[in-house]
Amino acid sequence: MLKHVEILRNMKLEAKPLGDWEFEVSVPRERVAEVLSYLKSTGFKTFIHLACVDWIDEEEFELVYNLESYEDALQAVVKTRIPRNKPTMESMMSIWGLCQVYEREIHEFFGVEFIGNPNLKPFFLENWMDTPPLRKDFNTLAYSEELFEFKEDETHGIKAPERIEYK
Amino acid sequence: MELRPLNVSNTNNKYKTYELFIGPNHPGISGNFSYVLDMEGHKVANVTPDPGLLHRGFEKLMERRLWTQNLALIPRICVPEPDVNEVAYCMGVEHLAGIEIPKHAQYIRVIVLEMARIAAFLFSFSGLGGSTGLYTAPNWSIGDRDYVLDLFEWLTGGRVYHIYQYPGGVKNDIPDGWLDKLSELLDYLESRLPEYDNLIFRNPILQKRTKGVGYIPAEEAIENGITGPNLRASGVKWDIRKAQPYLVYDELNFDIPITGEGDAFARALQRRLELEESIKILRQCVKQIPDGPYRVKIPNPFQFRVPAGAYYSKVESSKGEFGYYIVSDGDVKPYRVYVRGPSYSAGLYYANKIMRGMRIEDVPVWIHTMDICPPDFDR
Repeated sequence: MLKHVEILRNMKLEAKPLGDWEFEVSVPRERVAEVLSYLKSTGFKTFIHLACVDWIDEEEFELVYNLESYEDALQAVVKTRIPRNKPTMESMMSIWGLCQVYEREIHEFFGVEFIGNPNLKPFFLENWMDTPPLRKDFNTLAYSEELFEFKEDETHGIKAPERIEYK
Repeated sequence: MELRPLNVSNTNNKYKTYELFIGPNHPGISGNFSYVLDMEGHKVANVTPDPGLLHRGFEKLMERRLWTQNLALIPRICVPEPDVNEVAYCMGVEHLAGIEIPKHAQYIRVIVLEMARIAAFLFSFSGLGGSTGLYTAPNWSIGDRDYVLDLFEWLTGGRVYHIYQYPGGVKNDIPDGWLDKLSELLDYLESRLPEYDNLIFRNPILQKRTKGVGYIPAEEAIENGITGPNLRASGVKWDIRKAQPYLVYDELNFDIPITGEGDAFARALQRRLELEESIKILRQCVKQIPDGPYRVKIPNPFQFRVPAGAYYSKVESSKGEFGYYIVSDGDVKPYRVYVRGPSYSAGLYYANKIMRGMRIEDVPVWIHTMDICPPDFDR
């Protein structure tokens, strides 16, 4: 593992080992394709997942690519940050065709535009017009209160309990 | 009542192309999920997965709940094998919070995981029998699975959803006499294995229906993110329990069977062989489990703040790699939780590649031998 971390550091990237079989590397978004193809050529042949984290205070989205190498029993986490107001990212479909569905899901739930992905049509949701729902500024409570009418239980006279916000 | 005709999408000189829905309510599919198949004669020309009916927004819901409240929510992500969710989540939280759990609790976790694995494998036999018309298999295997659920009920209070794991260990200790009953159950299950072999795996009709169906070569399985028994059925020796052992798997002695043919029969047989290994692991756990506390105390749940950080914790489930990517910003609630379901890549992406040219009756066989579990990607 240290070999990989060393090489990635020589590529002028921030890499650090995490635990026994995992390392993390932070990459600027222009170099993600380069790093992923490099890792794929050194044995990280399996694409495990692509996750997105909405860092609303820093006005950034974080994309997390997770790869696995069966030969060396290692896990690589590649992280990149993209601006939140204009979220565009290069599609990684040319490296793993599998990225298509992951990118389509993130496009739907976070509104990230993936350039080069031919099919970013709605996937899980239907007729969704609101803010992409997994963004931090989408309020589920306000959405459901706006959409559904609250009904009190008239037969038993039960009132809705007051909401407690844990801080 | 008027019956609507099928949607004809295309005609050539030989066949019309029809649009056909497999699911959301179909005996050949597990969970409310559908594949829209374009059928040319009786062959599949194109597949469009249509998820969303089952989408409950767990990842968003988790951000609104306390770290410990989420434990009642996440078992619902994978219905046939809910414990992997709890264990993977707890392991992630413990890693971020720096909690070391006692050995006794680790052994209990392994016992729960392996029992869930057995239950899920038995469940997959029922799917295999259902999709090939061998209806004795569902009756037997669901019946035997119920004995496992009985033990779960005794241990945790719940049959299907157990909500038994807790950051720092498990919620309760093993009751008196439970381990003896578990040994009895293992004896019983072992005595049933030859009967399953005769009924399912030596059955010439089932062999004809499954051999050569949905062949996945090893390179394609690696390339397309297929994990777990499906990967091993394609001949790749990879098991997280061996390669990157978590809990106490490094203290247990077990093999990883590899079938290697890569077709539907190999995948079914792979599960049958792994069932035997799970029984072996459980026997060792019963013998080796040390005494000690079953959990370490964690702070009051309302004040339980997990230090900021991100961690991907994973567990080898009966369907493949089940992972939780947990991000904390140091609050009483998670900042973001991403769930990596093992069926995601096969069910949503690879299905379109492999099902093309498949006959319609082979589609449910492929779905069931791959153990496509829609709740874990439609989460």
